[in-house]
Amino acid sequence: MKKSVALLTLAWCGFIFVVVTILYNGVMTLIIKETGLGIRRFKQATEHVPTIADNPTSKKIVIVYGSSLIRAGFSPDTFDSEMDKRGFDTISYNFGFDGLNPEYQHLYAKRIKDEFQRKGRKIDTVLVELNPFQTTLTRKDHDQSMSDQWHAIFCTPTELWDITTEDPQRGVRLFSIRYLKNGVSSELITSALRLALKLHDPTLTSKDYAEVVKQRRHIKKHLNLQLKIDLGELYGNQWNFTFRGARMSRRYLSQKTLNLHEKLMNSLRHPIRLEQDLKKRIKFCDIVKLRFDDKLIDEFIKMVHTFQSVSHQVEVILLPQNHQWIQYSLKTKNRLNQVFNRIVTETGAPVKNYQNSPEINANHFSDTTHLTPISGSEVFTRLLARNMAIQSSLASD
Amino acid sequence: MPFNTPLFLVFFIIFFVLYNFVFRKYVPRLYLILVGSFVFYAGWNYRFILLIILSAVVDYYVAIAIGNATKQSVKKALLAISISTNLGLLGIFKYADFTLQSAANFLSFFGFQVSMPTLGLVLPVGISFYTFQSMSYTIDVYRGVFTYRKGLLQFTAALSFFPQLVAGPILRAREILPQFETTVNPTWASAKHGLLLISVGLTKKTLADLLAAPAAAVFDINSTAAASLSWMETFTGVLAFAGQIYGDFSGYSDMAIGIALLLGFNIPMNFRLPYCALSPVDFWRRWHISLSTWLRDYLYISLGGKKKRRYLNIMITMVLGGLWHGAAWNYLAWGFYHGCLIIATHVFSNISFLQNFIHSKRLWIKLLKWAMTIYLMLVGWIIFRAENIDSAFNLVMNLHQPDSLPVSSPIVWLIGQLTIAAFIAMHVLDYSVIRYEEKIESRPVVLLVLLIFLQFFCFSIGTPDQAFIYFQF
Repeated sequence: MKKSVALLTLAWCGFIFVVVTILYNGVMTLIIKETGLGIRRFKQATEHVPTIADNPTSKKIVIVYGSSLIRAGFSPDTFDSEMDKRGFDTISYNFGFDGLNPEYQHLYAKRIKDEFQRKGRKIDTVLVELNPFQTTLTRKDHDQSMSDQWHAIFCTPTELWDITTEDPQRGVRLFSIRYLKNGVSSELITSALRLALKLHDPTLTSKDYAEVVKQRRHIKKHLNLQLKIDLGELYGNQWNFTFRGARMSRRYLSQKTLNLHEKLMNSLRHPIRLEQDLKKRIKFCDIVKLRFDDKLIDEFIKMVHTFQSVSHQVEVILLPQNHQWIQYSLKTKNRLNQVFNRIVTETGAPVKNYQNSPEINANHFSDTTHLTPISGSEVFTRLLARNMAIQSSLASD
Repeated sequence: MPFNTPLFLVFFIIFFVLYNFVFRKYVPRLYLILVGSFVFYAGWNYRFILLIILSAVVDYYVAIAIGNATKQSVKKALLAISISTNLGLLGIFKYADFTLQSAANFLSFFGFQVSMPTLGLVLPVGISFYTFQSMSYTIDVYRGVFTYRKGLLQFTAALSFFPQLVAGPILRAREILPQFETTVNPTWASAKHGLLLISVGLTKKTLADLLAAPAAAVFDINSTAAASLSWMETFTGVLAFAGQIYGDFSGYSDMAIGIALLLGFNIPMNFRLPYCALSPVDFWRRWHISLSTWLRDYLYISLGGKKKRRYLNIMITMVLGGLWHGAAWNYLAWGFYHGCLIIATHVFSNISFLQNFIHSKRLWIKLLKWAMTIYLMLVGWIIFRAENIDSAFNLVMNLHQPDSLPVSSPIVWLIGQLTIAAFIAMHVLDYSVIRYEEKIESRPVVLLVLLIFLQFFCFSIGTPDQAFIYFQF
């Protein structure tokens, strides 16, 4: 090839590459801003971890770490005020994230650990949630395609380099996702599109339910407008530093907003929606039979060890279960107990199971698994705070 | 190191810079191509590089010996060495376990329970492609249609040339070897064409990956589940697979041709809008052209062509063509099915009262012929892709029961529409390249915008971990 033609070819390729990368990053920034795309919460939380680790507070730091069940079901405001009532000065944070199984949760846990170690500080208490249906074989199968996405954004450059030396093809891909694609892989976009397709609800053909959905959208629209008014600049953050990881807090909301929120939760508890939610959880998570994946349990145990290395106290918790929709058979219970035993034996961390808490009923859930972000999370958080305060008192005695 | 990975991009940029700015003389360039191709291949399994070298060395020296031999019997014996080496490699790595297992099944059918040992060998990527390519050289020299070349380096570099090494197109020695006698500098026009083909190929591969999920929903299930699928679900899944295999393979071929063009080599077209074919014979003139013409020239004609036992020759060629794709009964059945279709096409074309229909230029008759052809091809893909004969039977039955049309499932309709859209998009891209290539490439701004658009699409969407289907063949 003549040098000039080769240079021209390279110039064209370089130009196309730069334009495409800029376009992609621009479009993704807009999409993340609008929809979160499942990663905005991580990004916002990650930005605040150094501040949390650096904060010269005398309060005891409590991190509640886990899945979307924690994200929806733990209220830091409620926890701290309940602890305060009992004479404990705590500052708690909600580190619950959607869509991560223990393998990916562990990657992020390591980053929190790194930050605290860098500051030479320890977390006082970490409550690590064990979400049973995130540790199943079925769930692992469905999460496989997102492995590169989470590794790309959670691994350190050194870890990425280690992956590259073992598997250059994967390593280069991970580097490109991280540094060229602003942490957004094409798999993430594709899975978001697939999710949008799945949400194209077949039961919409039922006229009655279509009307329910229409009304729900209407309530949602009004609620969002109210939230904008109540929260002002705080509205829209997915990991809100003021609310310490929660998306909202009762004390910022007007009665009108709270009423609308309750109305929305009632609408979400429609039997057709819940039935579909259960089917989806069975299909993608094996939520009823819970056939566990040993490797994911290993990862969970490693995650507990990671937190133990940077905390004074680590506990494993299970969030309340919606017994109206999910009941375990004896076999499932045995499987779950075996997992508890393994965790206790291998980590020494106590396992606190809130699945059967009598204080929680079906009206505290927004679907088959998640507590409602206000009333449901408050009831559970009070319960959590009460137990922790009792335990702390006993410990100090 | 598939073409659609960032690692290949890194590899190719380094290779391109070295090729154009460092290794500018002929021999160093050949060494660069050889080493580069081996590095590329080592991305899968470096041990199997030895097989490529073995195939190249044997055929190189056998071709020289054939060229120098005076007696026909000696030439024949030498050719037998070449063919048995290449087919032997294929046989051991690709067909040995299948043959042993089939023999055990056959004996058990007659009541003899035999436990056959299996080799359990990994199939070397691209072996079906480079062995066929290498064989074509010795056969051509034997037939006297091509003179043997001297220069083992040149021959090995041509055989292992990375753009076409692992999934073709299957090049004839007479197409590629002369190009390796000098390294020709491409013009800016051919470089632009190369960039266009790479982008189009990458886009088709991306679309093919998106079609993998609806195809798997129909094919990766047991036969009972397959029986319960509706007509629309089955049609969508089968069409998705037809689109997937086309986008995947033709996309790879386009990228291979484009990359070769950027390096100054011309590789012939491997697909020409196959789903626009108006008959099964026409389909095979457009689908995987390098394999179908290879089978025609080196197998069908060797068997006697249409001079004697024409239909038997067609059937043997198509069955072996089916088996070329893999050692499994479904590939054999697929080859047999296409053999039947081609024979039927020839039989019908000789019936006098059908002549008007066959040669008609009317649009509605062309549309009818196209619909019949695509229907036959879709049935063929069921045989090709189904997990087993029960599933294939159930899917074919579903395809003929439109009464089970689901009106209550909008998501099936939506996925069906998206599948059709992806299918059409691939063809629009191909048609645009074939029909408007010069117009597009003569307008730099149009070309640049098109390249940016296609690359942006591929950058944003897809599941790049999907392997190329034809790598397994």
